Amino acid sequence: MTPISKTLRKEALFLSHKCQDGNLQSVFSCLDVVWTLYDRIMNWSPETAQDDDRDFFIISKGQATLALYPVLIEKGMFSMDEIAPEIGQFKSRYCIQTDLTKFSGGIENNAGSLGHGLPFAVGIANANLIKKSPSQVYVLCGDGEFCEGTMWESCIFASAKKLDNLCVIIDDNDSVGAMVDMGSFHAKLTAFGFDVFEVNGHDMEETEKALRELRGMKNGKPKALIAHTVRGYGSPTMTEHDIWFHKAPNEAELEMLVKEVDAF
Amino acid sequence: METIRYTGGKPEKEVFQVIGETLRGLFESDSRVVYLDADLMSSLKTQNLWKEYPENVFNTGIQEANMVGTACGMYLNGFKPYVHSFTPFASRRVFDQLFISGAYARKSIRVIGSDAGIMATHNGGTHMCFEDVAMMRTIPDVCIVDVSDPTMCGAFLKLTKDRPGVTYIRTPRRDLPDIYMPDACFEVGKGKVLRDGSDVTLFACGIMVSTCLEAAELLRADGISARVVDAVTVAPLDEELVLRCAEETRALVVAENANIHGGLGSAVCELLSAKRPTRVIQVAVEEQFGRVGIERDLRRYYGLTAENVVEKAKEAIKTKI
Repeated sequence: MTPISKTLRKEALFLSHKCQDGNLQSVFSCLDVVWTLYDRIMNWSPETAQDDDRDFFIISKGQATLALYPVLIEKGMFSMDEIAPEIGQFKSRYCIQTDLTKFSGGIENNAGSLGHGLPFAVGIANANLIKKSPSQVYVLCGDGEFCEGTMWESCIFASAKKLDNLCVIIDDNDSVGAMVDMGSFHAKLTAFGFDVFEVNGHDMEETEKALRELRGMKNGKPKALIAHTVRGYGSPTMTEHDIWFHKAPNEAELEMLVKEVDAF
Repeated sequence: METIRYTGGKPEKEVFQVIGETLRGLFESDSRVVYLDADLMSSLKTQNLWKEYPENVFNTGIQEANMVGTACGMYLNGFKPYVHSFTPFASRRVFDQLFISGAYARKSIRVIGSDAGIMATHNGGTHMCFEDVAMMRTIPDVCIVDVSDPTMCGAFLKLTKDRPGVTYIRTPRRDLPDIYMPDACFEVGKGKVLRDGSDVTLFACGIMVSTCLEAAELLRADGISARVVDAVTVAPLDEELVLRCAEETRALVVAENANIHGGLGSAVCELLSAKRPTRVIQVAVEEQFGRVGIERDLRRYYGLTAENVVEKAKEAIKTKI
């Protein structure tokens, strides 16, 4: 793993430890994609975080909020010194699901109720189209989240409105496979009128290349990136044991997991 | 009066354990009982049931609305469905399916909504649902159970197995104290008097029942005799019991871990304003969304504390009509 991948994971571990909550498997699976977006793709910076024409990042899989904070810390939007002491505390702005109402800039949506982020992103993209804004909309969804009906309803509308300024990223960590057989995302989304690319979501070069190419395809079709990822990627313990879907590390576990990330 | 075993300490079994064990018992005794979950089996710790009873347990994936529709279809074809999700997704998100495919189509379905009200704690506003009781109360012939103790949760899962219509069981998953004896008997539409008193009635449901027991003890220190009642089912409401309490104590505090509009407090006021005007003060969530915190902080923030119940009880006594 690259040094930044390790840094981000260790920050997520620390935040989860501080607030004694979190969905770390899900956080670790999407961290590399979220970083790639903010670092290499999006027209976004802390200074332009409230500009009309900024690119939007919508976190539809809200349980991965602890992936977003480390990225925004490394980008200079938030500081660890501010988040760590208060995360999860009563009246804190920071919890394991983002709360738009407590921020002016940096956080674009309330996350946690699944099947909400994609419709919201479609609305932003449709508005961008009407306003002739160059702003692009990136929305991070879980593979399991695609069981919700609203996800497919949004896909119909996005395609009908020719929203080629929308890029749906599926963090395909095979959560859904444990419950139902979804078949091929690629075939389904293609049938819904999307341009679909697939990448290894832990390979930043490959992810960047695909996102750049999709961004350039102004052909009236919404975009989808299927990022093949691994739950808990970066920690063998977390990958192996599903209890880490929703568990916070205690002091000893934190130390053990940090070591695993360092050695990965 | 009910014999109780409330001490305020840790329960013998957490609610999620009781739910798991009760479902297992139901599968064993009736092969037509089915339990559907929308990807929250790990939260309810029912994954083992899924493995052991593949013909009784179904994980639909994260699709609550379809889960409810499917459950209704299974009822039509001879099954007895129980569905589970967190309260906002088990009520607000699927309300149309519950209302049309369920209640209106005369299906029998039981909905377990976990993490009721403030008990969503760290998951915060998107998971904290106060409006479910008000919404559910508008469904004709609904049964709403706001669980106050683990024994009660298991009992209602069993006794509503063949109940027609929509049954909604809202409950925390853990940290609910034992109140009832293991062999306590429950009935739909029957409240329980847990402590007798003559100056005021503390009429409660869900997590506020134990809070009112604490409040009654505080009031006793001030020389006030408070009756404590568990509504048990918010709907149907035990009207006879409400009227008797109004008659005998002439002041009520109604306490609930839900929105002040449309819940137990509203139900009591609707009844009393029609049949026996009585002083009622509500302890409930007023004009607020959910937010993040631990139970203790959230209780203080929303006023769901014994101290607030005490204050409201004194005010109700002072302003009796």
